[in-house]
Amino acid sequence: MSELVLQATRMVVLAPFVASVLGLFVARRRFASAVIASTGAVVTLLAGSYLLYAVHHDSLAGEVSTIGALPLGQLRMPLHLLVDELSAIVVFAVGIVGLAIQLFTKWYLHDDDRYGVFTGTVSLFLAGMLLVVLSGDLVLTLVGWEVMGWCSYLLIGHYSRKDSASRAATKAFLVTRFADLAFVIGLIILASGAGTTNIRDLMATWSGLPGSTLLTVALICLLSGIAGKSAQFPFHDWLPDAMEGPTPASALIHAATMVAAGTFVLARLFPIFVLSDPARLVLAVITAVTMIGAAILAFGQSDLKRLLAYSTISQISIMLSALAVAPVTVGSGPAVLYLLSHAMFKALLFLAIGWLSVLVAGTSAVALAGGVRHHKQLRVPLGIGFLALAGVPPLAGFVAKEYVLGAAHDNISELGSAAGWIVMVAVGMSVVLTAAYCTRAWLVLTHLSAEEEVTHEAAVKEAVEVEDVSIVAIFTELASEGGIPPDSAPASGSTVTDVHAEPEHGHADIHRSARLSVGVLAFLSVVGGLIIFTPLVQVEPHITWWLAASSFVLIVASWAGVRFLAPVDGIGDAASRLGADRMALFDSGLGADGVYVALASQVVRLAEIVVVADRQVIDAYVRGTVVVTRWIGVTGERVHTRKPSSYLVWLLVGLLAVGVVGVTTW
Amino acid sequence: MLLLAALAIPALTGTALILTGRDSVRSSEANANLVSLVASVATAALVVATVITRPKVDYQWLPSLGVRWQFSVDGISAPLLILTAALGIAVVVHARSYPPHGGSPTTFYGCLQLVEFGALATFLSRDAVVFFLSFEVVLIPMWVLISRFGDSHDLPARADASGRFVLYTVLGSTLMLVGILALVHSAGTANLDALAAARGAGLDRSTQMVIAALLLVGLGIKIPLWPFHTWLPPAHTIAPTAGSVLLAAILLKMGTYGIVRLVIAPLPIGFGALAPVFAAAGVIGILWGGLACLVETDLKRLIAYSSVAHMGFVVLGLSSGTTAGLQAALFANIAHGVVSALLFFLVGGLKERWGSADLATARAALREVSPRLGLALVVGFAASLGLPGLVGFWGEFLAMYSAWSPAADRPEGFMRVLAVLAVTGTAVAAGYSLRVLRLIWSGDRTSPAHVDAHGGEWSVLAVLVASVLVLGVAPGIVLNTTSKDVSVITSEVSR
Repeated sequence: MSELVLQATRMVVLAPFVASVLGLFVARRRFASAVIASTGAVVTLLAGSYLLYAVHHDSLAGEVSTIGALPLGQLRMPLHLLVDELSAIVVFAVGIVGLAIQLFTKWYLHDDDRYGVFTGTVSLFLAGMLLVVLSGDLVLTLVGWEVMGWCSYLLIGHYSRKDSASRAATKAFLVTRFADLAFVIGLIILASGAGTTNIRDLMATWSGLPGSTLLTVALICLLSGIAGKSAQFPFHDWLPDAMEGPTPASALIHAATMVAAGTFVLARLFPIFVLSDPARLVLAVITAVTMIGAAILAFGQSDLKRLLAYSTISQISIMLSALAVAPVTVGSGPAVLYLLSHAMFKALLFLAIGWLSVLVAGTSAVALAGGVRHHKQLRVPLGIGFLALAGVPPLAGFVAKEYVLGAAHDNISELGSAAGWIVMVAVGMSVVLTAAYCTRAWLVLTHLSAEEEVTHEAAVKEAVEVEDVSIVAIFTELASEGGIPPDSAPASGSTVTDVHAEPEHGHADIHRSARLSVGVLAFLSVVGGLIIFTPLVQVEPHITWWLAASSFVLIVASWAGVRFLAPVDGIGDAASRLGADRMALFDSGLGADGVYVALASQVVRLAEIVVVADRQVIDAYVRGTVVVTRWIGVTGERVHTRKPSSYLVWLLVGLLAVGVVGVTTW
Repeated sequence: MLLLAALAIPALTGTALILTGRDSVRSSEANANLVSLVASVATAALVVATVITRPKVDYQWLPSLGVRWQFSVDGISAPLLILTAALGIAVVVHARSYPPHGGSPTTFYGCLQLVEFGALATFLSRDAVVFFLSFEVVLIPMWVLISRFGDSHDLPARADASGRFVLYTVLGSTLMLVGILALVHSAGTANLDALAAARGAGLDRSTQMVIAALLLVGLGIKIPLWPFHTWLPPAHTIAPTAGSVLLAAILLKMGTYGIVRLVIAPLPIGFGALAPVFAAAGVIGILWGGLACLVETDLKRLIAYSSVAHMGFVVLGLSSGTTAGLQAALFANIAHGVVSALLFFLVGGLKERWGSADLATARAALREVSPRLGLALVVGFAASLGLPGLVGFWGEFLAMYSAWSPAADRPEGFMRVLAVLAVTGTAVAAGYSLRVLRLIWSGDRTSPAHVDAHGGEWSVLAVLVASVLVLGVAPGIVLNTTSKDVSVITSEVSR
């Protein structure tokens, strides 16, 4: 590999890491923090783009050394990065999403006193994710994996003054850390069996042992950690609570990073994962349960940000399920394709909802009701996001979902395993459910009550020119007014068309860079599916037409059904048909939190026993030595009666004893 | 010459400080600190020079016993020497922010110097008997630090803690002395290099086992190994900040270092036979200490229990008998030295501010009122839970790895069970670390307000935070230093 590629690879990880360290020093200066964080993200994106180019144009792929191998005797730990087609494209996607989020954050947290710390943590988070993606060594994977976990703790707990945020952060970290216990064991088994932590070398070794029980154990252990980070059942409940963090943090965690990291790691290890049918079946079952359960829960959420959280859980299941079924010939391509498209449309949805929530001051369905009617500039981005999420053709979400269905189809026809059927049925059901909750959310967002409808019409007529701000408009506007500093320029779309012209709580107008971020993500969500016609992902450009057609029919049917159910009064919320009691149950995630708390309290009870045992048992003999010593001392003192006669007796006894011993042992 | 000077400076400074200046207490505080600082910096410079040039010192002492004044440096002791010298400076600098109270400052600084001297001599000595003597030199000044300068809120508790510290560890010393004498007698030499080179030749299995058992229990009390650990929490609770730091960061390491030198290298067969028990005690310590931290309400006691857990990982690594395991143990030694120093400096400062280290009392959130202390706390506890990329990770991960694939003569199945249990311990560590952060770092309370770290305190904390990061990102700094001598001990072929 050329020197430039080596440096670019290191730069991808190093740039955000350095940005986060430097950011710490200037954390109190908003502008400097923003410049450093954005520069880090830009450098990463540029280096990532170059890698993508080099990997495909010059077919360069290989390993890159980092801090040098560690000397550990029989265990080889070279700590290399691995550049290939898989890592290059994901690095590119992470780079785009990362930059978009950094730009958006600058506006979103413009009046937050801890913006500097937040943006530095985002940089570190990106460094962790990029390390996972580029890692060619299990230990580097683990490092990036856990660094991301720690950053998610800091980001979710950003509003540390709020107890709920602090609790959510602690919960997120502890749940994922608990799931990671098995992950670490899995890594240790894999490394120990091959005597190396280098991923390519150990895969070569394990490939020689198909059907090995130890391999299956190791892979199932890995699945536990992946289920934790990717919020799969039964570790899923941390993710909805993680909505306590600022919206950019949610976008980051949900889109291209943390939750998708599990998919990436498994895609990286696909050559050995495919060797173990039991592990694949376990994954198929986990994902099927999660996919359907989370989609049902999403439908009933009274908070639309939590709806998106559950939709993430469900979508990640779809991604992972592709790995559970894809035959060797298909490979990890469909999962990676899903990862990429989900990264774009989910980041888009979170940023757009975050934008809207700033305008209406809230994320509950009630607060957001009618939001896109009042704030028309969000109609297009949110619309695109929900259409892509629902998998409507020809958006990116549709293409990716067809590939997952195609993989399940191939599995059934080629291998005929149970996993194939499970995934096929589950994804089919999730198509209906996803369309249902997307429709519900959209209907709420566009709903106006009868009297609002009247005032709205009047307001719109009063406006001199009604400008529907589309992505094209965002771009042209940017090109024409590029010279004006983003902070001072009025956001033209909002001033003209908003019925509620200014948000009441005085948030600044959106920055042009933040608007651009949303626009780019929306654009990619629309055309992202075209990636299948490029060599960037390893998939054959084909669509199984009957699958595509039937899923489209299902989507339309679901849309019609929800539309029919949605009441005209209130906020037009189809979920209100469930009844308030049931919605409360949905909001609580069916009481999963209670189960976690019950488990944790058992550990605390054990801890209390340990403390009692420590003081009453182990420490008892230590205190006992004091008692015994004192007793000996007191007894000894008592013997000293200060009477010469008794001393003489003792002396004689002693002499006699010595004499006896001397004579007998002679 | 360098080496002897590195030992002579703290010894002479310490003695001189203790003997002089009982009068004019007020003016002597600043002077004593300055003298100490100069001495520590000079010592550190000499130690660094010694580590680089690696001189050897060898004088006849007790020919009848074959005991010689032998000092030198190798890869195993070098990182510990640097750690000792660096913390020797740090405690003096930190004491500028928090002057000692309870006795004459000259005595305080003198004792710090003597502890440093004893620790350096322990790590430098190449003679088993001299090793023992150096080890014992540390105990008395440390006892003075705890009993005279410790927390004076509860005098009976202070007397109990200091008395327990000295009596219990002397019990360990006695066992260690018996073990050392038996070893020296049966092997016919007191030279540690010769003992290591012989690899137990000429000693049958049962002899090796008896000597190893004596030494493991004796040194186990010092580490402290479960179930000999109960002297540590009270000692830490009472000790002044400098005492806590030296105790956790250096004294505990002398125990594990002693095991490498006196047990693993000279008695491979005996240690191999006892290793499963030793490892099991370590792993119980990991879980036991971690669980105790989940409900402990005194922050200093909590960190003391976390030390028991962290030293459990060192013990696990030592027991595996592989290069990876020994490397893990030596790295975890240094890692715990840095992290526990950071945490005890931090908590010592907090205790001064709060008046106690009780977690049940509502305090101002550190993130709100003292962001520097908050940052140090976040980094410290992140390292303490073994977060990858920070210094705590490498030793613990490699210890778990080495327990999973131990040396050929270890019971593999049993060691694997221990590995899994040790991994579980890392989740418990996450639990108590986040518990502390949630209690004192996050929240919206801003009263009672306290000042943020500045001056000497902040510079010490900042350097330690930086070390946690640097050693976490580049563990090779330590691992490459130790690897050559470690592979000699394990006689394992590197790949």
